[in-house]
Amino acid sequence: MGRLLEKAEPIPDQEAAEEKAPLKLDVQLLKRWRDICYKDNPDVAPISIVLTTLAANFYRGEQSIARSLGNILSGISNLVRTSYPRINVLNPSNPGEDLSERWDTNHEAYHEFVNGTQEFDTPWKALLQSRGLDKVTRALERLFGEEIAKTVVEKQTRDIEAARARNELGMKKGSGIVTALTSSAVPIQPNTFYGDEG
Amino acid sequence: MRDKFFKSASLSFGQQIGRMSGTHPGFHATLTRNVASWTGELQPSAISENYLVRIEYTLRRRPKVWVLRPQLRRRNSRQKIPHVCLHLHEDWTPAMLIADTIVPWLALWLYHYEVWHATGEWLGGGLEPTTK
Repeated sequence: MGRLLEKAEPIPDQEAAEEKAPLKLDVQLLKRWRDICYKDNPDVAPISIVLTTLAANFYRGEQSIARSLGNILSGISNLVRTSYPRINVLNPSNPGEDLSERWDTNHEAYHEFVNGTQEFDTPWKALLQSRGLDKVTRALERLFGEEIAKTVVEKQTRDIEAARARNELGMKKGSGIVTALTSSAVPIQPNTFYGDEG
Repeated sequence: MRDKFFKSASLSFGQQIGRMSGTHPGFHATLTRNVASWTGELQPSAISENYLVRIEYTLRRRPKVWVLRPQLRRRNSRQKIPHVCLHLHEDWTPAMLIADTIVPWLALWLYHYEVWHATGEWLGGGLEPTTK
């Protein structure tokens, strides 16, 4: 026990999403999608090191998660299309090690990986074209699970309402975007929503 | 309440239209003898719909608002289409600028309308549109 404790590192502080590098968030989303997509058949789910390595390979420094994850998925799809009999995910620090070697013996797992990533790529691209918080939330629910998508929207909305209560909420001039109060925003003055049904 | 509303100082059409064009230049203004109206677009978040809205103001009356496009939808077959309800009577007086009150309130209402569709909960405070 003593040795274990000596080796244990302090638990890092929780980072807020906006503080995390896009690649880190991309990897989290890929793992979350994997957990949802293969929840009924976890034996064929791609392992984390494979997803992490593929994401790092196709990440090009984009600051937008929407764009970077889209490019990672496109990169995987293109690689799958041009690789036969399968893609090889090599350890970047030891190219002699094939992190995906289990696909040699577990063809079903590779087949499920190919299908799964393609089924992720299409709705992700459709999601980026979607307009409407409700439509985007529904698309996110399908990919990452119902509870997590709703929780994110509700948390953002509660943050907005907290800023409204502090009179720190504004509307960006020229667009209508509800935002933190800055010089380019019209302050949202106190009001109570109320009215008759139509 | 009614007395307070009518006794408060009123801003002129010129003041309302001037502030609207300065603050929300995308809105198109029309003025007839008794009514000023504006039509323009609001997108309450970067991933929200673009809503075409119309605001009508008869001097010293409370402004009326409509969402022209896309059409407001009911959330399910049991619920009615929500009516845009921006403020209690005492929240707005003719001494207030529409550009600084009605327009941002409408943007915030539209944000909450989308969240209501997404989550089933009205998180904007006040009264849920379809519970009355």
